[in-house]
Amino acid sequence: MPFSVKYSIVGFSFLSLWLSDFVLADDLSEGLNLSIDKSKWKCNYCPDNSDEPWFSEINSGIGFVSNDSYKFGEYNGLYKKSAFLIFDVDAMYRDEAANYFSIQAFNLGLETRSVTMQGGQQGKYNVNLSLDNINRYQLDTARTVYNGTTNQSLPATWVDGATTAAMSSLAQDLHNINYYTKRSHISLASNVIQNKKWNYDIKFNRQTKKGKTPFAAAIGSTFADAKSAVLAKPLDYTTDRFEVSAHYNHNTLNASVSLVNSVFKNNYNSLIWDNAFTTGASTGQISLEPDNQMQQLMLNSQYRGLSDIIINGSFSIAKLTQNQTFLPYTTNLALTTTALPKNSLDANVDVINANANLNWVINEKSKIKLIFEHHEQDNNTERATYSYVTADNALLGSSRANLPYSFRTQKLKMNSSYRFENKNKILTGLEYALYDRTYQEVNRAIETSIWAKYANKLSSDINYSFKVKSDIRKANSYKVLTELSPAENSQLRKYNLADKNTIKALLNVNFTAFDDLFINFNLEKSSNQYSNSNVGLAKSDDIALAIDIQYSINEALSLSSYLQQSLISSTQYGSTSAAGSDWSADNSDTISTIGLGSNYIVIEDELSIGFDFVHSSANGKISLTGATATPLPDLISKRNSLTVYGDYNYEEDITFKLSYRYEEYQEQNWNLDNVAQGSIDNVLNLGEISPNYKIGVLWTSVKYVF
Amino acid sequence: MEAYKNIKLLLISLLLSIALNQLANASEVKPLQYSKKGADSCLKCHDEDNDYPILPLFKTKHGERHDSRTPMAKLQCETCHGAIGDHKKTAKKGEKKSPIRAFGSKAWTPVAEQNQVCLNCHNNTARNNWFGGIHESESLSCADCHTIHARRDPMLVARTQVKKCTSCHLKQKAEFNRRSAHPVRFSKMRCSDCHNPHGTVSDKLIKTGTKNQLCYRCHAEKRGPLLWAHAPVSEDCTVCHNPHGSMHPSLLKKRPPLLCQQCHGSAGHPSALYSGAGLPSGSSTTQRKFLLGRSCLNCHSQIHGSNHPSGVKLLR
Repeated sequence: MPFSVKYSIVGFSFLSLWLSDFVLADDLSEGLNLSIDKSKWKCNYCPDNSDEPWFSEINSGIGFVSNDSYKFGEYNGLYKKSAFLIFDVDAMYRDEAANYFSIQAFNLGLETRSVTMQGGQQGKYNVNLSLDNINRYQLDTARTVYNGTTNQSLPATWVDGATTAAMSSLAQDLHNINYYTKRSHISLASNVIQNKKWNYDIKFNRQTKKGKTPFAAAIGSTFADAKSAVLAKPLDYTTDRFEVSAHYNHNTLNASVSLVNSVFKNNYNSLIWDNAFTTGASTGQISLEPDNQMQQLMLNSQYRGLSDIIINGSFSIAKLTQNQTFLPYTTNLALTTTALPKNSLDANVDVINANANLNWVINEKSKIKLIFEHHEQDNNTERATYSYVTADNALLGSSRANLPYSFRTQKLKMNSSYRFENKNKILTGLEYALYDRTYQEVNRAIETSIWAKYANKLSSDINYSFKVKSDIRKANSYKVLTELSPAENSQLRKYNLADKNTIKALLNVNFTAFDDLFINFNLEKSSNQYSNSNVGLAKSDDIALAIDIQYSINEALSLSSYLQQSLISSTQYGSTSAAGSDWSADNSDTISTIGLGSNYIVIEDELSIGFDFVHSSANGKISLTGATATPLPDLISKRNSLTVYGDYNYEEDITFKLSYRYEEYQEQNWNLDNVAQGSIDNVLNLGEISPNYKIGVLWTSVKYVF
Repeated sequence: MEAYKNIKLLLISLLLSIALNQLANASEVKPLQYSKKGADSCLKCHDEDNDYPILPLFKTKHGERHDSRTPMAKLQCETCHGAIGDHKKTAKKGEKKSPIRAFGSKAWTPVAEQNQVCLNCHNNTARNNWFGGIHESESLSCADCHTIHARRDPMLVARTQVKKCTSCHLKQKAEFNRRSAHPVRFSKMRCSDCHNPHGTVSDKLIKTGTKNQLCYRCHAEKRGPLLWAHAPVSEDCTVCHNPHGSMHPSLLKKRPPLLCQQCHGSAGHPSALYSGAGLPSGSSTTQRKFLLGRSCLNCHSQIHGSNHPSGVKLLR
């Protein structure tokens, strides 16, 4: 036998045993194969749930809001100057037979209440029920002349005008209108454990969303004569989602299969409104979101039976359908239209997601992960030609066929990591992605990415990491779509399709001193260049700096603070002649967030006080160049919020709480400022005012534990 | 004869490897002794006066002794913390007590070992993508986020979960405070409504195969499919929106008309420059409807697509 083969055999034997060490070393099933005498393991010192099966906390009290503001109460329900009740419950039950129950309820005194309950017999089954109201108070400074829900009409006293300035009855016919949405989630879920290998889930979720939201609609045949009005789109949505799953888990294999059915229903299918102007059809009709459905099958699995290798796979296929009866081309009876090519769309889209990945722990220092991803959205909806009517006012000479967009993304990724002796790490990644699209300017784009990260632990108190990533996206070609009329500018590049170079860098530093001071520092920069885009977005940058400091000065006093600053900027080019660029816009948004907080234990186990302060401000500048460019004012928003609080433990089970929040908000928004209902000749808008408030909220409560 | 010699060589190599291996293991790792009395051995010292609260565990699922899957039903405290070994013995003067497996990023126990303890039980499909995921590659330990000995794990409650996530994700913490944001700072949404921090097949740890599938869970009215789709809407909501927060309305990255003019520049009104001349105090009354109020959406309100036969321009 040759010399090299001999020593190869020897080497291989050693290698096998060395590798086998890593298999065994990672096996932490310490109870396996060990014979431990548990006869004296009585758990005498373990708390006995039969003595005190219940643990409950109730927090109840009262509060007061000093002023009305939808912006302040946007999601917290405190939008009105009024008193409000505080009632929170946190209770749990557990007995010696493994039966348990838990309830958490917050804000029961407000419209934005939520309740979560779960219970069952641990190890056998559980049932979860939750109810949550997410209400959004959107706009309370609007005024409109319209009345009605799906048929929005003008008052009997209304006088049409050629422009909004000519609407002589406008001022007297305006009335206040508030825009808000009320969303409610109800979920019911159960898990049943058949044995150590199998368990099953069944879940039902219903979301309803009701209210109204601002929504503009136009009547007119060209942009020159189009006249629009801002209406109140009625919302009455219901989304039901039903899911059943089976899960298998045993030793080296797990798997799950799920079936999902989701149905969306809209109680309203259209909105009709009266035309407030003297020209154009007397009414218009706009469609509202149609009912739709989704059915989905999902499969997930993991195999971990190979030494140091874990293989994961997931696959899902979904079908999206929509078949609501079409509205007519127009409600303008003066126009003669052709028949619709079909009564409904009969839309049909298949969505496929697939992912396979392999994790390999090569040794205690190096790992590698290989990933394949596939996402596909196949739109099988039939094409047809529609002789459409422009905004209920004019028939177009030619017809248009619908474009059933399909998408496909495929990615191959490889990530690796290597840990040095001193615990420092280097991580790298490569990615190759293919993007395919139909009926769009780019049929195929290829994106390649490479990244590297170095993580260094200088000591037990200081560590930092630095990551850099480069993405390059190239379209195989960029064409002007012949289906569109008028045709798009051939020099414009849509930024989600265009060639793009991206560089990202991220620095993170963590510092700990004396076990009491923690500092976290982050700096990240992302830069996108669209080098072949003569018209459209040409570049965008995002720089973000964040510092977070937590300091426990002593056992009684702690301080926390953070600062985050973002600068988001972009440059885009435009062309008034739909050719080469002759104007540009530079957007620069600067956003700052500062937080400061402190908690002080005045008397141990008896009295503590504290405060939280948040400042968030944004300034948006737009600089324009071009023959007709005149400056736009800055966009400004600023919020300061200070909360001071105190807790007094009257007894072990009773705590008195007192809190006060002061919050102020200001906004300057050229979209809305000084824009009254009659300010835009051919748009009857709401005359809304940028939000601006100063509000105080005082609340007091008693927490009782029993 | 030659073959016999090679086999002999192989066997000698293997035996030598085994011997060396056993010697190496023997010198590095001594098997630890389990306690005589289980949890009672631990709770005699780690009682209600312990600096770190231990006993609330017994109000939680981990502390349930009548469910054979739980730590307390198996080897009690030593299921997770490992065999007690010499930890119970009083330390010699000037020396520290013999350590026991501890949890958290500041603990002496390697993070991979800590996490394997949890994953020995919590190895269902929800955690299939932990290994090789971003949090695992950051050497995050389960105990960095989860508090096992608390009556309620803060990660399972919206208002406290967000505080924990944003202790590292500072940029997102600031974004939730912007003018337009999902209601995370109001505790009406939490990070895990959209993300699975244990790892997913998708980028950014989102829970579904694509971003749009996630958005449609709450915004199903935009799912369609529609007769006249707006292509970037069907493909990726984040082409126009920043889901964490924005200084622009409706979580938009930029506001119209400039947002729309990044992609639309055909002859006529889409390609015109709209500037201060269109303000109420400006010189051009024609520009106002493209600049003020809802800008492009003063007419093209069906921005997410339309199912109306005349909706090709997103006017109907």
